[in-house]
Amino acid sequence: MIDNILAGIAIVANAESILALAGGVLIGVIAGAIPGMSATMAVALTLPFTFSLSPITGILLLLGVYKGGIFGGCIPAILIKTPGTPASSATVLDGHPMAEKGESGRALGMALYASCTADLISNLALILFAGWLASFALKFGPPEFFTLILFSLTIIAGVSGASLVRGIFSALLGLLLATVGLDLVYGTNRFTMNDPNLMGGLNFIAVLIGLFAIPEILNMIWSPDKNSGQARPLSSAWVSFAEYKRCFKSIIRGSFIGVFLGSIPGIGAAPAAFLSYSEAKRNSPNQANFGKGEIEGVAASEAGNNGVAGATLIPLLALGVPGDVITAIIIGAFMIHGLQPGPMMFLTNVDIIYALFVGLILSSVFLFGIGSFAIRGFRFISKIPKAVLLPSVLVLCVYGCYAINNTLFDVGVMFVMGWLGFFMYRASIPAPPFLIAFILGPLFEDNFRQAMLMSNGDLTILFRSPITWFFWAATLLTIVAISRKVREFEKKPQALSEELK
Amino acid sequence: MSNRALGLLCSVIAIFLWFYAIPQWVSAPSNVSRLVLSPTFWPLIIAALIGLCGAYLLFIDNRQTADEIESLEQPENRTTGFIRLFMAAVAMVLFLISVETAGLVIGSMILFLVMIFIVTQTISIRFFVIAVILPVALYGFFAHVASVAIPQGEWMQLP
Repeated sequence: MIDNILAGIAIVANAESILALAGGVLIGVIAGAIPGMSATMAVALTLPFTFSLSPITGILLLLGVYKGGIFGGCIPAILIKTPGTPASSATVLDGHPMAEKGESGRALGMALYASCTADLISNLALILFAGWLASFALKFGPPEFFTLILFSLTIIAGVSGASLVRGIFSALLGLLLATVGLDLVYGTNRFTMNDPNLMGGLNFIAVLIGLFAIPEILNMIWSPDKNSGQARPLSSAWVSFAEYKRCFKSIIRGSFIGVFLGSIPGIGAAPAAFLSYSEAKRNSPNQANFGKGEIEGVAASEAGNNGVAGATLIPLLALGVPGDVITAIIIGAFMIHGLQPGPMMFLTNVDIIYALFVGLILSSVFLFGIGSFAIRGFRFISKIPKAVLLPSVLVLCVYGCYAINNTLFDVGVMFVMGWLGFFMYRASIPAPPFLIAFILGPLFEDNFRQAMLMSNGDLTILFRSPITWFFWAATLLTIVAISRKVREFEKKPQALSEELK
Repeated sequence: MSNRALGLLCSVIAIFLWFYAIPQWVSAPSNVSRLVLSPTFWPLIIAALIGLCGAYLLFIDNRQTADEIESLEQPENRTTGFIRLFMAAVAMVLFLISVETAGLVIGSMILFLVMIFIVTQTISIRFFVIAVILPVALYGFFAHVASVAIPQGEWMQLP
């Protein structure tokens, strides 16, 4: 293991990787801090810029954007009562009341300390558990992978929002779109209309950027008057070490909640933040202050949502399945750079795995430095008018999409997917299940058909081992549990937003 | 969109896929021994599941989701909102058609300015400056750092 760590350090210890990581954190914090942008959109838009980089540098850049984006969301949550990312919704509850009392510096300082602590704990959990899980997953064959991916598709339940059926419909559309191209076994055409551009299937990045960036632009065109709120000034008072010490228990608890929920595909950062917040409130001697500007509330919610960031990479690196939408994009980045995340990567590219671990630990340090700087720079970021920002994003999307295969066809696909995403948004059909199903669809079908070829069409092969039984049971249990949880969390933010009004 | 309307849409998509799109656009070799191995198997399963979603939304959970619909932002005037969207759609189509002639750089500049104009109904010097700098900077990165052959069109040749 020591050898692997040293090999990882050797790969990361160069100016290019360190600059990519620091630049990624900076881009992520800025994007997360701009209401209307999101960590998902930032990761999607950064992806084309990694094409010219080496695999490890490109992936470190994206991981930096991911980490920075999750933290950046807390800045507008505290200063303008508008969470930059859904994960920061719980931070509004105590963060904004603190800003109203002129304590925004303390709130943001605590958010930064809690985020960095939770991020570090989450990264350590990833290092400890990913290898162990991957060694177990080496025993998997196509039937086991099929049941594993089926289990991973339960992510859809966690990202479906108000209606599970709408989420399932969205996922089915994603699965359908993933079938476009040449058949994996027979090489015959499926929905290609004999167009050579469609024979390789639709490009993942064009679909991704179309679904997550273009609808934001179309929403602004549809309703340009949408107000993003008035920013509170940054106070000079900063959080003290004594306050950090007082909140330390809540931060550690929130970090472990984040790690636990993050390692289960589909739950995501927002529920972790709310659970961490409610646990902190339940155990705190200052229970009555929660919701009125209690610093421990800010610490708990930020620890909860940042604790998820490293843990979502556990299923990604160990099993090759995404923990949430952003890690689904990062899987695409691995594939673009010729790497297939999963248990085999621990045998074939173990140096890259350990380089990522080292980079992730470094990202916690960068987050601390860059976060402090970004907090002070928010007043400039918040002044960028949306009318300029979003058309700039459109131009960025066009170049990024064109650069994938040097073809305008991908730009056209991106526009079409953008309109589809906009229609889905207006029709309250969530886009994340579409993307997750689009990414997992080919793997799902491929493993199913390989299993069928192995058994000559006998479906009982899908129940051949205790591992398949485990995933069948886990799938059923997760569907039941997540749909209950989703309903609970759907009710809570509604009640909380009413309270905030 | 109400559950009933979405249920209807799902049903139409499922019927279209099952009876037209899959038979027409998915080729399956005649010697496939089992349906589960056929290229049509997976699309048929997806079409059936979309149909089931539609049936569920139409007949079981057919309440209106008015709260969700109201929570989405609406423009002050829906007609002008639709006009703006139509203009954006036209701009995107024209952009795709004209890139070979105008090039990606000039095309992006025009697209940027059109989008700004659709939203703000004004074009200032500041917007012009951004419209020029951003596509040129992106051209510089993609053409010279990432070695992507950015189409330059017939009007202008950048180094």
